[in-house]
Amino acid sequence: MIAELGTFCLGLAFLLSLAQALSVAGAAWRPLRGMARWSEGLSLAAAMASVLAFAALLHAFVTSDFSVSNVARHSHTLKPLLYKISGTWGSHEGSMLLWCMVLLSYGALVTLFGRGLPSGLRHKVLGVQGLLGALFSGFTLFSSNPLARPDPAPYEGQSLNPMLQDPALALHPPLLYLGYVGFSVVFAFAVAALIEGRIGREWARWVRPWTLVAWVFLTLGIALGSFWAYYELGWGGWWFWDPVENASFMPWLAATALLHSAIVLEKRDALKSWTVFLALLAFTFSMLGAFLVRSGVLTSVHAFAVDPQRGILLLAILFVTAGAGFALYVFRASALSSGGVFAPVSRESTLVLNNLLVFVALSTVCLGTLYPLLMEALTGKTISVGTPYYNLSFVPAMSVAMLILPLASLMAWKRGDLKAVGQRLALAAGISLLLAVLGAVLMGSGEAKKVLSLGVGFLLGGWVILGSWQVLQERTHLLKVPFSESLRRFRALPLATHGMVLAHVGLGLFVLGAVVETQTKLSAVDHLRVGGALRVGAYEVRLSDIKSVVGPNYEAERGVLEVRRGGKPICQALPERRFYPASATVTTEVALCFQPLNDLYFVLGEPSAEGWQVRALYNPWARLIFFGPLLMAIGGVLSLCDRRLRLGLVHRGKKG
Amino acid sequence: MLLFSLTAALVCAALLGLAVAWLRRTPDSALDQARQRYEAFVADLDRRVAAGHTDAALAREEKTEAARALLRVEEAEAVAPVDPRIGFAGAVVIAVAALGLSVFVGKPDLPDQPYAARVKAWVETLNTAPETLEAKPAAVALQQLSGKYGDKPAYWLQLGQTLVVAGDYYEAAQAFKRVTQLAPEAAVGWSNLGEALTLLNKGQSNGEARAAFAEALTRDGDDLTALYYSARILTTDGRYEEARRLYGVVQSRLAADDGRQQTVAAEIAALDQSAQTAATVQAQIGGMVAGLEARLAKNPEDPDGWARLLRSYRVLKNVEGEKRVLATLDRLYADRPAIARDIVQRADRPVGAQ
Repeated sequence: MIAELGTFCLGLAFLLSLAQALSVAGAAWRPLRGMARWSEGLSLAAAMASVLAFAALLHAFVTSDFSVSNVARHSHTLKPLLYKISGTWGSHEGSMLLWCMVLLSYGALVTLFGRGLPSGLRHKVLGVQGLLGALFSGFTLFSSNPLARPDPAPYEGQSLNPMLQDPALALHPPLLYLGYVGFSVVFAFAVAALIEGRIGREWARWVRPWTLVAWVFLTLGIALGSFWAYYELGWGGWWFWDPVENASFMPWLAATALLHSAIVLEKRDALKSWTVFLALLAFTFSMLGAFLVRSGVLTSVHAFAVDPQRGILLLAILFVTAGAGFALYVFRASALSSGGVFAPVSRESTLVLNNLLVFVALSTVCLGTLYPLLMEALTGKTISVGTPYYNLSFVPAMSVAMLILPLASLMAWKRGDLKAVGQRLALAAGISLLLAVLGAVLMGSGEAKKVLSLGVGFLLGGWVILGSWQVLQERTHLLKVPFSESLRRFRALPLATHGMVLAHVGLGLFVLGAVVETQTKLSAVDHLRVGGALRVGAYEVRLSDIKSVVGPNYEAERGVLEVRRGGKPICQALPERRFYPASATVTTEVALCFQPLNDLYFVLGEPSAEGWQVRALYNPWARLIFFGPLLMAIGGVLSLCDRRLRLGLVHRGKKG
Repeated sequence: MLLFSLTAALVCAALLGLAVAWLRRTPDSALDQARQRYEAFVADLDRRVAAGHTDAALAREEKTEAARALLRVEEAEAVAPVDPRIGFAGAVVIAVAALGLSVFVGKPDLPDQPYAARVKAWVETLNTAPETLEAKPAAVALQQLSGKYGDKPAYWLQLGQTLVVAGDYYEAAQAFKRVTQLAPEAAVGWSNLGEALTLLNKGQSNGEARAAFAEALTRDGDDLTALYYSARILTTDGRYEEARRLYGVVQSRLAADDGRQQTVAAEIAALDQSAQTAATVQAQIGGMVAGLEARLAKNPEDPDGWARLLRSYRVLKNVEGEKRVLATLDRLYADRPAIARDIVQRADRPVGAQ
């Protein structure tokens, strides 16, 4: 009965969301004006109903109830508990339910934490959230019901794709969805403000925390997904410009631009239309991503192979919601006059320029992702857009944006002094140039392309990090006042400043890691018998044993690799080649030797008459690629904490 | 259905009750909210000015802006409450529609079937009416008895055979391995193991399966399963006469009315067909190989040709020819071992792989 109650709760969530939207729409009629307030209670009830529906599906997975077809297709009795739980969102249907739960829960959070908002705006936001909730929960219920039940139930499940049975990937989808769907609130704020015809500083203050929440989750989700691809797929790469990766990257770029344009709106009452446009765009890209992953137009390790019929339904939802949002924008944007005036040289100008560059980068990613699909749809020709395209389009735009970044952080509002800022950043520029020359010469091994890439990478990474340091130094008056005074100033800095500095340093570290890893990594492949060895860079890798191991739902051959450098033992790596009998699938499990900055990465390939294929990679500075985004997310959290006044938390605490 | 309807109604009532409870809270007036927001904002600004993080002029401007926003806020217009009967009617519509949806989309009369409960029921059936159980649940129920009978080879044999019928060849092979460990002298464990491994490998007997059949025949030369699969292995290896002889032995051991006679007869017919096709192919490849050999004799500096010749000998299972080519390669490329290694690797790849 629990599974059926789940279906009931999903239907209830759909109806409550619909009622939530209708209560706001109905309030437009004067006699029913008081009905708008109902949307608050309905949002809480709808969220609770979706949580109960999700709990029912989770229960079915944990108890291996194969009378639920989704469980039968994506679980197995031998699967460890963690992967039974993660199997809940491991399929199209389950992940849609997760999407609905997150969407409706965000609606409830607007009710709970949005008491500081004007009631008109709050109710309109809830109305839009209700409409989105009804559309997505309706789609899930009628075309992708995760609690659908075959009769009779199969005796055993078909199991989850072994590649998805991984701790990182167990967490990756929830984080990603908390990000994707978080932008629905921002979208709802934009539509509500367009309906009200009032967008100003307050609006920017209200929107920023929600954008930050979604941005932080999306940053973590993308980073975790990238880390999973890095160590699970066994290719040694961490970003492939796969359309599905791009689908998550596009809303992230839009949200990054939105965060910065909202600052300009908050501080200077400018960029109203642009900020609203970005707010609409972020969730539109989230929905586009959902369509790409679920429509069957893409084949990817990340994509759900779903029939086109459901893809068309998702496309219809995308057109209805984004279409309505942008239509409203077209009608109302001209009325959004900007009050703030600023000089061409000012913090606002640099932020605008930065915003435009990020938008150009976003456009190149969008074009690179959609153009091959459109070409295939229109002409039947298959073309692929790969790394060279992005290196020539995305990288230059982002590089210029990064050059401007420290200037924007140090420039004054309204009217800046470029010369003075230049003088303050002279030392940072000098050190960055020196780093660029040293990096290019020492690591470039004389190859022109490597030298150039490393030079630019070190210059940009160093420039962003040192520029951020300069911000801290100026705010704390470091070296100008006694250290204790600097420390006091450091502690007194708003959390948002700490957050900004951390996020920018994270970006700089990421760039350093990405450039050094891609330009200087080494690899070696050989067939080794037990006792055989290969060399990768300065490391000697000896295959000392092959062991058979039995896991909870797999059997594996485990290679024991002794890694030495100059005769000194460095680590023991244990890559595996696993066989999952439930799905009759063989996978490779990468072994990583974590060094402080670098990775030694090992893959055990197929056995042959000449021995076991062993692939060894030396990935210098790979740690920074994942540490950088983590810092960015922590920076986002710090910024978010600084906004607690605007979330009304203090207000409630005083009351209590 | 009644219990489901009652529970659904309770869930509905609880959720709608939550909504009503939230709405019954006395909301702060809009002006109070705005004033508190303003005070908190000004306090934050003052703190930042005192810490030297905000320009005093900018702070003044922000305070003015916030004060203007406060002034703009008027007491919320007194909104006449909506007739509660509309709310009640809406709640009833939502509850009834949700129930209707779950009947339309779901199967409310279908009970949950958690795996543990199903296994318990299967074990009970195994003890009371085993003939009513299908192979898979029977195997699962048998697996629950491993604690009791885990040291008995007969138990593992029965479990393995049930798993084979259920199509779970991997688990079956594991069970038969236990049989061979507990009773290594019994041929039946080995032959069943070989069969399970062959079925697991989609009908192809790999090295482990071949070894298992060999072990079975060592212990019992009349083991029908081992004889049958050994004949199939010989067919795969192209040793048609030996295969035909073994199939003959199998036929002679089976009773005339045994249904398996038909299977063996079909295998023999397929064997004849394969032998005929193989002979034709052999002749064609033989001609091609002879031509290739002649060409390489004239022009030995042809790595691609050597790779094709080596691959041809391997396809023909001509061990002597293969040895001859390898010896020639060692001699020909003694000073260029990389080329010889490349030729051998290319010969390993199937035709068209490059």
